[in-house]
Amino acid sequence: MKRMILIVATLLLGLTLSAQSGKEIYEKYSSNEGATCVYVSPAMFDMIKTMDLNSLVQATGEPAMAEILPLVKRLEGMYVVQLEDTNNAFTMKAAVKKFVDTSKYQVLMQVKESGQEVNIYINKVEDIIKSIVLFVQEDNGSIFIAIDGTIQQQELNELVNSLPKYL
Amino acid sequence: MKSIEDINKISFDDLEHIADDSSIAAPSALEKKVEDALLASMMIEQAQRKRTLWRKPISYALVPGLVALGLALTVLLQPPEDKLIDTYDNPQLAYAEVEKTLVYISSCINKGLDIASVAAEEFEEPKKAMDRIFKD
Repeated sequence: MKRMILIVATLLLGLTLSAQSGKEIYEKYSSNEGATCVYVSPAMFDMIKTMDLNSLVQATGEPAMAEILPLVKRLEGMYVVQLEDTNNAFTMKAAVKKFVDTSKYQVLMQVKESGQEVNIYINKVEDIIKSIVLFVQEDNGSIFIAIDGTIQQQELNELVNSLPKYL
Repeated sequence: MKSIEDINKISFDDLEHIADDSSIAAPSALEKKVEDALLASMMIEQAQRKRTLWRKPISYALVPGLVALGLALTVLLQPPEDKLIDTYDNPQLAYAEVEKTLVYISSCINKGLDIASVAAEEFEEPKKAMDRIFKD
């Protein structure tokens, strides 16, 4: 009897301590004053998958990048939050750190330059990248980006090599 | 002194006669021994009653408790409804934003790779110097 209670209590405790997701971080910080947010839902990505390159060109007025479309069709969700308030930026950084530490994310890259700190994390299962999280902290704010999908490691490598290096 | 088996064979009337017969002497402190035995028996019975007192309510509460726990876990483990609203209702505009974001991520990765390649070149300098020394 005591053992059963202990097992049940441990299971319930595990549920309450479950990690945040990129979606939860977006929900928490997107309502902050001065936040700039972009959310693309799985349903929207399903619609994008049905479209071809030509129809994408017409709406934006600029040619869509052919290298990106195959990868975009593998995505399932995108969350972007840009904060200008440095206080909220610090708390968001802590939330992102906790999220990647408790979930199955590995560090892809960390870059520290004057005035900017970039952290990129991926959730990878064998050669499939299930999620990419990017967090950039600058002097005047921060940017959080989370992308969910089923991306081949090789596709990401090709994307990085083929796209323009700097904006 | 008779054994218990023999006493069990005696009828109730004979037992009454034996009890009324004052010439038969009872063992000393018999009354105290009987009282002690009865008291001990009562205490054992009370202790057993206390032990079993909570078992029945627990067992009756266990089944509905497990059912309630199962329902609670089912509710907790259900994926929450998507309350977020798409920023864009036009998939073409959404695609443009996704493209911009992927380009930004790519630029961050490339910036890191460039820094790493510069650092790698710096590490090569001491190695080249040592190669020159040892070749000479």
